[in-house]
Amino acid sequence: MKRIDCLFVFHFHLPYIYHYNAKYFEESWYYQNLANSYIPFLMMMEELSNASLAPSIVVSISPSLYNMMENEVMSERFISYLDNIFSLIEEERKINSLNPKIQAILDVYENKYLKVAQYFEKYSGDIITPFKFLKSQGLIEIITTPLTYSIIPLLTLKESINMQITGAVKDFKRCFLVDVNGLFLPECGWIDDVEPFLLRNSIKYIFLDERSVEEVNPYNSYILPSGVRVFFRNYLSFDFLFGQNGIVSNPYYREFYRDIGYERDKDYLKKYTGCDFNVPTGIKYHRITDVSLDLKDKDIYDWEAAMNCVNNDSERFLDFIVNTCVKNENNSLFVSIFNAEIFGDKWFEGIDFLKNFFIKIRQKRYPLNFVLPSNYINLNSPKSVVNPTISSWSDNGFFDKWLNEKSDFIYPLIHEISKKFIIVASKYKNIRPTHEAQRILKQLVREILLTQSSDWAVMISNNVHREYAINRILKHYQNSLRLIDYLLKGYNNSEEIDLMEKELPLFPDIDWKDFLSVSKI
Amino acid sequence: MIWLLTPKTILDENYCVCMLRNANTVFVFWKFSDYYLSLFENKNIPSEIRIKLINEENKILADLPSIYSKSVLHIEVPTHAKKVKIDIYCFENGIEKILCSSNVVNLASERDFKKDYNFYNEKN
Repeated sequence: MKRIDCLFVFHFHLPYIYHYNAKYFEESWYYQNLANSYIPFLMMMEELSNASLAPSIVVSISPSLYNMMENEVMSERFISYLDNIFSLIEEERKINSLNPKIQAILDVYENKYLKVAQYFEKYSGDIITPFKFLKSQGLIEIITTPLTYSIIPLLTLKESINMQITGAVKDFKRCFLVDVNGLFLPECGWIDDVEPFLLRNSIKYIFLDERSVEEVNPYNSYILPSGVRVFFRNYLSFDFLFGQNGIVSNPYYREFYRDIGYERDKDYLKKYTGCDFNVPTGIKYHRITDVSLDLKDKDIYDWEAAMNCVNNDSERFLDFIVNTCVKNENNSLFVSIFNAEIFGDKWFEGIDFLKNFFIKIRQKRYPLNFVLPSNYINLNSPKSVVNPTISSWSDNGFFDKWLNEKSDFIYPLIHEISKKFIIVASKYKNIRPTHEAQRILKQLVREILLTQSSDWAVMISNNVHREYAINRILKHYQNSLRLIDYLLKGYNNSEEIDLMEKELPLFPDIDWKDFLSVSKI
Repeated sequence: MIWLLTPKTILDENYCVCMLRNANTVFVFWKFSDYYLSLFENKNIPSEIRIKLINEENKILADLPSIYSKSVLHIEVPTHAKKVKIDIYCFENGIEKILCSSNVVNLASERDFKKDYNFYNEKN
């Protein structure tokens, strides 16, 4: 049968959650995902590469995430995080010494985390290097997102769009030492205003939701009027894996929401989690059993049974892709986009599933050919020109998820500080700012960019870590106003700026001039 | 060192911004200048303002009352509009006076979008 070109995108993103001198539970999301998803993903790719079975895939890493990966303090804290997990596993072994099933599960956790620790040590805590290595081997194409993952259609000023995109392109080059060819627009959020900035930054391709253009066929690639190639996400693959009754709801897979962090005494857990309240630990003993069951009624997890399911489910997914493409008349391209954090963390078996999936393609000679976008667009013409409408891949294709009665207070604040920055910074367009003013301008841009993170609006809308999100927005807003005031009134004490820079050591080479007037665009 | 000579209040003007929320709803926020805020607060002019939703043909699709201090509003848009903007009015000496106009927002029709089902988000 005809070969199917597969374009798989694994999207890595977390908001910037580093805290210099305060302990926040939210920072542990980074360590949790590093241990459960990011490092296992890299390990999987290296293992497949060594066996000449690695696919060519796209890896999208947001600037806020890779800036955390570069953070040496976070690397040290990750080692402490792993130490705490090992200590907790040891303690759980004592508590469950007479339960062989729990001991078997703890064996699985201990082996996994040992491998993660060894991998981390192999690269001396530098997780960017293995991504670069895989890229140099031609196995992955690395792309990025706007600087702080803002939903572009919800930015009220073109200057903000320019800062988010141009800043991302420049920071990517700083970190990965090459130009970026593709841009992952957060949540496939599209508005016409983006196009000139893609062109200006030599972006060759983007990804959009298939529903943003009427009558588009997601099995083909298209082109914007500017010449930027568009790949459309195939929703069916997402639905097959993660939809209602999707593969991830297999009753033998590990239950994510039942964690010993909610079942053990807080004082027992505190020395491992560092928290005075119940938080998830990553140690979970139960399987899904039935999605309708209460958590307390779930059965004990069986790793081997889960791996048998992985073997079957990976083949089901392969058959699904082949059958889907065969049904489609123009069955040339299958584009799937996945949030990387799901594999290994939320879906415990996810990395094993992927490994199985990629191995089976070769073993069973499935007609799937993994392509990298930059190669693909050189060899394949687009089907036609498209003009996508304002859209996203979220609820009903619009923006209620981020803009609603709970979160609407965010946008006037962002607009106010962005507009004020443009007014104040414009005065430095033709005069050289002093060293102190430069520092303030750069720090001010960082603070404004962080108010623009779409993650806060999601947390507020979903009432998940809501107080943390509100505090983050207000803190960056207040810092912005203060820095604007310093620029207006003059400033000659750098201690406060020192502290602000230590609290936000990201985008070290940020160019504040990218946030100025773009009236000619 | 070169510093700006005089600190002053920046962005001291009336403005409003319109954003698309979904196929049927736009969101508007506004801010008034210190001058107009003092007129409202000192009751020199009525606190009521009018929010007018205007289409591409300059036709008023909706004329909604609000209070100057509310600062945000979600407005349902009639489905036949292609583009909309917002004009905000106050009453000065009994006469309607425009305070600010927003940007123009292109609307998009709802096109058989399916709600993404995310197994993990459902639990949240």
